[in-house]
Amino acid sequence: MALVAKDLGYTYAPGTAYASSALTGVDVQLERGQLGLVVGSTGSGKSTLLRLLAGLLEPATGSVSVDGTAGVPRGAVGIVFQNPETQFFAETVFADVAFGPKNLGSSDVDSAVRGALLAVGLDPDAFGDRSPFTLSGGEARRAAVAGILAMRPSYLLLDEPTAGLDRRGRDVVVDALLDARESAGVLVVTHDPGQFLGHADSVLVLGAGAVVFEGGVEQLLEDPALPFEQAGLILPGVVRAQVLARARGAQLGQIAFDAVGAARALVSGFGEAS
Amino acid sequence: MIVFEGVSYTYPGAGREAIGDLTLSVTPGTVLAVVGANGSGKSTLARLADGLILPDKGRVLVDGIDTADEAHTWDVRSRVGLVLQNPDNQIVGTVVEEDVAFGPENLGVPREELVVRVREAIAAVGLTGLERREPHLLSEGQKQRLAIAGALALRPEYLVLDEPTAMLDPQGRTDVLRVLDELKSAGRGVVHITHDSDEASRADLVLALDAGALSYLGTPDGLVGDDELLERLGLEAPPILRMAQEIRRMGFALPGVSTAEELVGALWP
Repeated sequence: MALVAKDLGYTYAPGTAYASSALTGVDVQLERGQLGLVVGSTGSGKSTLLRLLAGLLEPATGSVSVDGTAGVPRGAVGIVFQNPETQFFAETVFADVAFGPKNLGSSDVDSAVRGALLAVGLDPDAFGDRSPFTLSGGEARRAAVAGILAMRPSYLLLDEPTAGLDRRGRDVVVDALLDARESAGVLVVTHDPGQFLGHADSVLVLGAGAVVFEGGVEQLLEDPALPFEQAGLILPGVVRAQVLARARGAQLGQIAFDAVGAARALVSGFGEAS
Repeated sequence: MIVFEGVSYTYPGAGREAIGDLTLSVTPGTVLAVVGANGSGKSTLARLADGLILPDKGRVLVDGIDTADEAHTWDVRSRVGLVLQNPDNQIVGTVVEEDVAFGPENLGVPREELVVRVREAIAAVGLTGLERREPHLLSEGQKQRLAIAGALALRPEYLVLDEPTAMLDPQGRTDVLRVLDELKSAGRGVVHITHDSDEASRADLVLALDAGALSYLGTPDGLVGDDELLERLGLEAPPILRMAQEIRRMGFALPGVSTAEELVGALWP
């Protein structure tokens, strides 16, 4: 059970003087129950990839299949765009979140909406009747994510879901996505991977429309210079410290993603090196 | 030095003070980070520092000049450069060098000196070679550096930047932070408004605002242990500082460090 893409390529404005290749030869495999990260600097093709995987763009080369069947069936893949809170249209939060499951002919819209709102930390009784346009930035982002969760897609694609959120808002969104992973495949595009790195099952690094790296987090961190920095990205400081220490010969074992764990890892490596 | 003496300010029609009884100073050759949640008064502080708005109570002195002294308004403005959050709103020229020249040209700086100032300001932010580039063709990071160059061409003693990295991807952010370090080394006083704790931990001093009032002023290290304050400010404890603190607690002597490179360099010299 996976969302699979093979040899994906896409060119904007093909056949014109403005033709520009956004993506070439990209393979993706996202299993249900897994969290994948897509990272890369601005213009590396991340957003184009998400649109192709969601079936919103027709690939110029290659193909997308869902659970072994070619193409993207309606409702199987949910996508949350950047700043999704700019896309509210209904009069109440409840109606906005209900729009997706209603259109998919869900038999129990009410519980789908309530469940989705609870998953993003919004009490349905307190927020359901409010206008989505009166929500704070963090609440609005969470409501927008709930709109996709309510459709219960098998695969969930999100473009910078935590950008611009404060600490509390980020934590809630990350937790909601980790919960969603229990039953779905979750793919997150971000250029601030710090908060997801400790949870990710795989990482895809894009540079100029091509895959620079594909593999697990540990594998990614084994090389201190590449490919994160090749893609113009900065590792979170506590992870970077461990990678730098390894480069100096310290035996650290597993990379820790929190400050206290990272401190312990470094001290154990220090003991052995000296 | 920029000195705030018991400064309060309320926006016309607002119910509460945006800044209340604030006292602080900004010294040349240092970076002061200003942190706090949305609405805590950070941007108001920036506007007070260069006399864009004037205190209701107390006073702001820039190298001894009161910002409320109308006879010296331009003296204050030329000493304090202000760079706002979104560079797109601050770019006026049709090409890079013209944009940088705009400020000093308006102050009547003679042509020969103008050329030197523009060249130096562009070099200081690493945009040399792009003098004839149209601003809209620059990346976001380059635009933000252009906005900083525009402020630098006025040769300010102090630079106040309101979340200069908020719109940038990591590469753009690294470039801007490098420029701030260089300004500090060149003896300028820098006020860096940010809500990124990694950025705040690079500063010499951190000032935290909570609903317009000062809730912390001290080294970045001092903020690390105070989880309650960090929570109220909506900040994460700077992870590298917390990591260093933990290593010290385990009995290792570690000097003050603010980056991963410094931390690892201190353990494995």
